[in-house]
Amino acid sequence: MVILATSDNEQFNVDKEVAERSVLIKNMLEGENPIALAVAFVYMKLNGSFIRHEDVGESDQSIPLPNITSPVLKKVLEYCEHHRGEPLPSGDTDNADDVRKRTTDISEWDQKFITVDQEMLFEIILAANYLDIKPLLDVGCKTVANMIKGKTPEEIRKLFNIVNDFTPEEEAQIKKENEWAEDR
Amino acid sequence: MDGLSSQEMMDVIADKETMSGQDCTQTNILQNARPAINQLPVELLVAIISMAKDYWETNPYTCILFSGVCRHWRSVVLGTAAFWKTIVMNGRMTPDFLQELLRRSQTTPLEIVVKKHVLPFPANIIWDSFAAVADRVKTLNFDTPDYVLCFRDATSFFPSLENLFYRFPLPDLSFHIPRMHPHLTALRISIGRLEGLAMPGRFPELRWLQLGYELSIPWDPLLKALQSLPNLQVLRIYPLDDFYSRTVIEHPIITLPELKVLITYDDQIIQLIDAPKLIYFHAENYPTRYDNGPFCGFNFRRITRVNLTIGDLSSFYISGYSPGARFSFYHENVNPIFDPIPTSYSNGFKILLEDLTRFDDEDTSTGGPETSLPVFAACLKKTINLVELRLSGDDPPWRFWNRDELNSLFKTLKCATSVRVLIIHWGLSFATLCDILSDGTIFPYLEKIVYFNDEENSQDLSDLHSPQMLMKERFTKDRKPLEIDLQDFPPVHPELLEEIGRLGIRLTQAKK
Repeated sequence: MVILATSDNEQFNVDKEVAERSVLIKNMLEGENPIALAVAFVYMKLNGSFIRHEDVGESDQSIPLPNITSPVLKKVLEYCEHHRGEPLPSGDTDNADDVRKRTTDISEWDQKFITVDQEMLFEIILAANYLDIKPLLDVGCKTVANMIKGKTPEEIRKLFNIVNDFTPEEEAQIKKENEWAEDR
Repeated sequence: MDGLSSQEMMDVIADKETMSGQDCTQTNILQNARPAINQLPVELLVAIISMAKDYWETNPYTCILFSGVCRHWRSVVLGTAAFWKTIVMNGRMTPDFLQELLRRSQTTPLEIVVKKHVLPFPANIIWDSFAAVADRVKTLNFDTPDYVLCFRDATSFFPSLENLFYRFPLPDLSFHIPRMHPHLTALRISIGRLEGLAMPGRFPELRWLQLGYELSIPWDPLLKALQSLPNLQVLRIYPLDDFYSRTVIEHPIITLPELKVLITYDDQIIQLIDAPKLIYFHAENYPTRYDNGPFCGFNFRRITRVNLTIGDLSSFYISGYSPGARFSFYHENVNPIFDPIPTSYSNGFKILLEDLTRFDDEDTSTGGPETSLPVFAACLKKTINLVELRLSGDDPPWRFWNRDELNSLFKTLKCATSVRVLIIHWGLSFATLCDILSDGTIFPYLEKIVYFNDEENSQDLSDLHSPQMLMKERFTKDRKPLEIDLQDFPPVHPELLEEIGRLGIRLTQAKK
């Protein structure tokens, strides 16, 4: 078991296999991420506990996740638990097939999982980015991409509570450029 | 922005209406730092826009729309060179826009697409505009011959060109690529004369060759070209229409040691090529009128290891193959030997093993019935949606298979869990059938067996007169009620029928 500590001081006991869906945690447990280890060290010192290199991954020591709150970690762990045992993506994700797959595929379970309010959606994306869980990051980004597909700039602004901050001159330029985007 | 607390931020926003227009813009900029999407790292916003941008695959400039959301998005879109790497020369292109695109693309490799439109400015402007970035142009894609003369000797003008596509009939390739081009890796020509391509050493790095042809495949230059392209990895040869080449070519085998992908439907090509590394074969645009004709098939006798993906065919057979050939079948739309006709039992594939007669093609040099069984076994073991399994047909190849091996095969089919109906015209002994049924892991959901009397299993069925054949304890264990339909057998003894009935088996018989 691995103990994960969130920014609001909650602790989660997690199977090592589940926790290691996160490349960050996996590397920490394997002692291959000295920067993350140093961050964890400082965090633990500040919180009055002590962590040794060889202790990381032991059951009685927790791994601090200072960027993640407990409700978000709970959701992330739900995802990791569901996808436990699935092959992790390879490091090479730059080829066109992978990109296309990222842009078209989202499983039924993942869709249901990611049906959350906007605030939680972006928290999950940030957590997945921080924890280095690429499949979850893809699900989150794809979901946002689906939200903006086919929408006008004004509709996108409304969706995310963005205001128009262009000057009239800039707007005129954008209007002119929009003509280039028209299909012909 | 980072120095402001939430309350301070709200105060600033509350005051915005009293500010001047410029101040208002500043306030809006501050406010736009609050939405969660604008707090994402830039690389994530880029990823999201990239995914959303693919929604409009036909127009590379749709990212312009996203640049109109707010200043933050605009700076992200305009600052991401990859969004501007494709330059489409179409009817609305202007010299100013072209310069702007080249500026926004920074130093990223460029793809130029020349569309079928009249450019509203002199063609030499194209030439002049691209001269400054000639080193960055990696892909040149002509949809039209209108401006192709501007790019005559394209590979010299763009010294780093890697991909060259002509989507129209090209009178003479050597006119456009008159000399050696060391960097060209992909060449796609809708229709063209290949004499220039066939000159040895002209394209030492060519890995992707795609050729269309009209009326008749240009065999001589094609074969010469293939011989001169030792690094070829992808070969796609297709006709403009559904014309099918039936010319028998007498030519020594051409070895393409690196070929991994072959897309064609011309089995002449397959017979002429030795491709030890082939991993993907796609029978493309196969004319349906030949489905049952003598030319419907592929001869893989020169190819020993093949993973086949058959995408567009409704039926498919292999007329010959090398001894020891290893085949793996995958289906995109259909499986090669599986007829995708939904049965009345469920939405699954119905396997029609009559098709396997086509493995037993007399013109094969080395294949034949002695190796058909392993191929059949390999196919069958991959099935996951099989509903009805039928060994039937006139003069089927399994008449020549080893009966013991066939029986052994069926005992190992633990994967065929979807089979509901088993129709045996020939080949599976009744003793083996009973063994299979006694193992709950083989065909566990079988509901019906239709068992025909062939000449050889008559002897087996004589055992039906000894009820112990069916009296094995495990015979009906954990099984659904089973129906066995005996075809062309002498009437089963009434006592046996009674015994069978007690086992929960409904035995029916068609009168001989």
